[in-house]
Parts: sequence; C-alpha cells; structure tokens
Amino acid sequence: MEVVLVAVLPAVILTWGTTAWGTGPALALALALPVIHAVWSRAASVAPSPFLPFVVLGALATASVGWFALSPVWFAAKEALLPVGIGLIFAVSDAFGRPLIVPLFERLVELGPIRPGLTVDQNAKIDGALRTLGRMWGGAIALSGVASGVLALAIVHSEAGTEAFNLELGRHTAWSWGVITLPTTLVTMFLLLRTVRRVEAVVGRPLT
Amino acid sequence: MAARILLVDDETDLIEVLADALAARLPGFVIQRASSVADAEAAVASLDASGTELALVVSDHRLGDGDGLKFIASLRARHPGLPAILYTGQAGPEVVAAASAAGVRLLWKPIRLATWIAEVRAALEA
Repeated sequence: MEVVLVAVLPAVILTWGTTAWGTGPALALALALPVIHAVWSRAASVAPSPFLPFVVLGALATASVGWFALSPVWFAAKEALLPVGIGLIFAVSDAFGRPLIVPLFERLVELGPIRPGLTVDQNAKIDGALRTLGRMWGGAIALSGVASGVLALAIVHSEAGTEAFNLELGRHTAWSWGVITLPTTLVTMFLLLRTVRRVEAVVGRPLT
Repeated sequence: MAARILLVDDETDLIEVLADALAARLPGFVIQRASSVADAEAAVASLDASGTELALVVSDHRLGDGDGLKFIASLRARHPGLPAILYTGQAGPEVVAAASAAGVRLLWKPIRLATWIAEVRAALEA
C-alpha cells in the first residue's frame, strides 16, 4: 500500500497524467498522495509518526518548485536537504545526550516495563545498542538524501512547471524508489532487527 | 533552587542510565554527574558557593582518581549527616566495616535499576 501511494502512483500520475490533465493538476495529485498516506498512517496508528512533518514539508517543497517554476537544482537540493536534515537531527540529539532513536525504538519495542528489572549495566548496554542504531540509521538516511539529490541532478533538467519537468519528476520518483528508498528500507530493517537481537541478548529472553 | 543528588562514577554510560532513571522518577531533584573525585569535589564546591542543597551522594567505590568511601567521608566532614550510598562490585571486609561504621549504605553490583531507585528513595526519606 505504502509503495503504491508513495512511489508507483505518483510516478504514473506524473508520467501519464501530465498529458491528460495538464501540468498543475498532475503535480498536485502526485504530491498529495504521499501526504494522504502520511496522514492516513497517523490516523491509523496510536502514536503519530515523527516523520510526518518531513513528508508534508517535502511534498510542499516539491510543489513550490513546480508552481513557482524554480530551477530544477532546487528540487535536487530539497531531495538532499530533508534527509540530511533528519540525519543531522539524529546526530545532534545524540551529541546532546538525548538520542532521538530511543523514543523511536520504544515505539516499536516497549522497553519501559523491562528496564527496572535489569541491572544498570544491562540498561547501559541497551542504550549503547540504541545509540549505535541511531548513528547508523541517521547516517543511512542522510546518505539516501545525498543519493537522491545526485539522482535528481542526473534526471531532472527541465524547467519547473513544464510537462517535461513533471515527466522527469515521475522518472525520478520511480528510480529513487528502486535505487534509494528500497535499499534504505532494507538497511533500516536490517539495523532494527540487529538491534532487537542485541537487546534480546542483553535481556536474556525474546522481546514480545 | 532544587536540591541536588550527586552521582559519582567514572563509567559514564552507567552514570547516564542512573541519572536518566532518577531524573524521570524524582522530578523534585536535579541530578548532578561527576566522573571522578576531582569532578565531584568541584561540583560540591560550586553547590556550596551557590548555597544549593546537596540532598544525597551516590558513588562508586573504585574511581579513577580515588576512593569513593574516602570522598564521602571527606564530604561528610563538611556536610554532617549527608545521606550517602556507596556501591561496588568487589571490596574487602575493611571497606564493608568502614562503610558500616560511617553509616554509609553499601550496595553490591550488579544492581537492578528498580533496586537503585528504591535505595535512593529510601535514603532521601530517611
């Protein structure tokens, strides 16, 4: 569902819808889909997604590039800056001793009730594993941003607001899903599973 | 100004866990961290200068630059009756005797986080 709403449909709309409905409507509809998905995810889940503001901000930034006919370089910059910004937030929160990864991880695995029963050393090992996860995940997100920016520079050349721009945007969306989003998702899953295994090793039993 | 709980340990990972756990459960106190006897002495001097109350000191026994029990003893010379908890993974009978004689609560590692919190609460309420 996520893949369809965030990658496939926007790419199809930008590629085919531009000719059928015109540049503006196709761009608006394509960009609305990731936002609709993010809002729907938020409504369906108990806790709001911390990445929701970034999804909305990203869609608005892309729409601005199209509607205000800015240079396509701005689109590449936007593609790079948002994920790099998220990576920086991870790094800064870690440097200030309040790693963002801890509440994010605890959205998946509730550690609060487990922690008091563990020793201080075990808690420190869990915190260490979470910090490693945060650094690697933040790095992967930042790297995906740089890759997306480079891909945008390679694919999107036409003047924003034109039919050609929308077509290139569609190609970029399709390509970036395959060569950036999917690998980043796989890396994220690997890192999360590895961390869960490490925490389970510290706790001495499977996490439910 | 909120009273302070001074945590002294040269293992910064452990002190962060303790400080976070105490800060979450004892919002009326400010947790002050020190990674050595020298750091702890400087922290206490600063608290004394500002007239801030030191409510409790919690220290590891073996520190990089000194002895936790001796630090507590020297601190108590200036702050009589200050509640104190000393913890250690390994110590001889002389340390146990000295801690007992000084009225310092001695805990043996490994210590569960829940036990930590309970011991700190008990020391503050004593």
